[in-house]
Amino acid sequence: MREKVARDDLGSGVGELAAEPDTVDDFEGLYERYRLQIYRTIRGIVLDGPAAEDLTQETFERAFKARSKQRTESSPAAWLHRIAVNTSISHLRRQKLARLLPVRMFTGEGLSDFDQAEQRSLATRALAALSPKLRAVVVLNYYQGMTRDEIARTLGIPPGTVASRLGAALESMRRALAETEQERASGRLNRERTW
Amino acid sequence: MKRTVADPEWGEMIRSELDSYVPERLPARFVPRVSRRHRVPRVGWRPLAVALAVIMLGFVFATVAGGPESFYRSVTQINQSRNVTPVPTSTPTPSPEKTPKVGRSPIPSNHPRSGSLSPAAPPPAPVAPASAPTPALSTLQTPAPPRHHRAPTPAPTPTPSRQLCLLGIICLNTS
Repeated sequence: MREKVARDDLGSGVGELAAEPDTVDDFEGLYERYRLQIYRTIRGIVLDGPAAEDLTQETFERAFKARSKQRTESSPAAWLHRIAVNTSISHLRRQKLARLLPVRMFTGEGLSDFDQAEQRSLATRALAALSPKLRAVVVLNYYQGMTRDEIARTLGIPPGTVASRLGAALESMRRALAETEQERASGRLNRERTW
Repeated sequence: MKRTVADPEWGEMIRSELDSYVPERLPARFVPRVSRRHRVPRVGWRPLAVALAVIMLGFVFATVAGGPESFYRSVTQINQSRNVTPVPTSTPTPSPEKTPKVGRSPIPSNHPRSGSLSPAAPPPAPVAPASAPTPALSTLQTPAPPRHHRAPTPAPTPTPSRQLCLLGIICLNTS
């Protein structure tokens, strides 16, 4: 049911919203309509709840500042998703950079990516196996229901690149899932042996 | 297309996963930070603060350099220079009394202050004040005969502290 509501929020497609010329003028309405969608998209890319909330705020702040430029584009949804994806990827880049800093040696390591992934569900684990760019394409395709052309327009990349990224992402997710299955099987086997 | 065990319905899986996420502290209404910032009326505090800081620095410097008397003298001179010459920018003529020792010399209490330029007061030493004398001022000052020994009351000399004070006043006026 929640899924149905989410789909209805988005409309049948991103292009449908192009028929609403005054959507950006009513920015509060835009926020109310898309905040959940944007939050979940970002959450699917960064895989971190609190960070996703901050990045959602940042996305709408950026959108608000650049709302005069949006008039030239076709759809507010595509425009917002483009900002959201760029914000998320920038955030992940910053995080990656922060991980390389030597201060981490003094603060101590937290859970490794693998350990964190262990605690996640199957879908999150599959997404965690992808690079941020692949994750963005997967979320826009499988969650937002965008076509390849829509994703290409949203991210500003050629449709061929979208297709290749989707193919690579599927391959990685399959592999991640297969590894998970193997680990589970070997874990079960070990437990049986100890008994 | 045949699906393997490790190739589930990705769309269904990802959708059900992401739809289960509900933000906890994401506000229901959007309040832009930009508009919040614009709502506050902008006051030109910065030049005012700089001018005040310069004035305070000048006073502190004057006090430290010459003691309370020097401070009082600085204030008196600033007041007079504001009344007589609105924009004192001319460079002072070099005089032997420009040395810091002279500026710090004690002033007798029964003698009028060095900065006072009243007609009743005895003519000061022929040293140009910090600012260029206006015609009105020059009429009041009669040229004194040259003396070999120093006068007991030193003429107002443009010490750095006074210049700082004047600069502060100018800044304040312009701001």
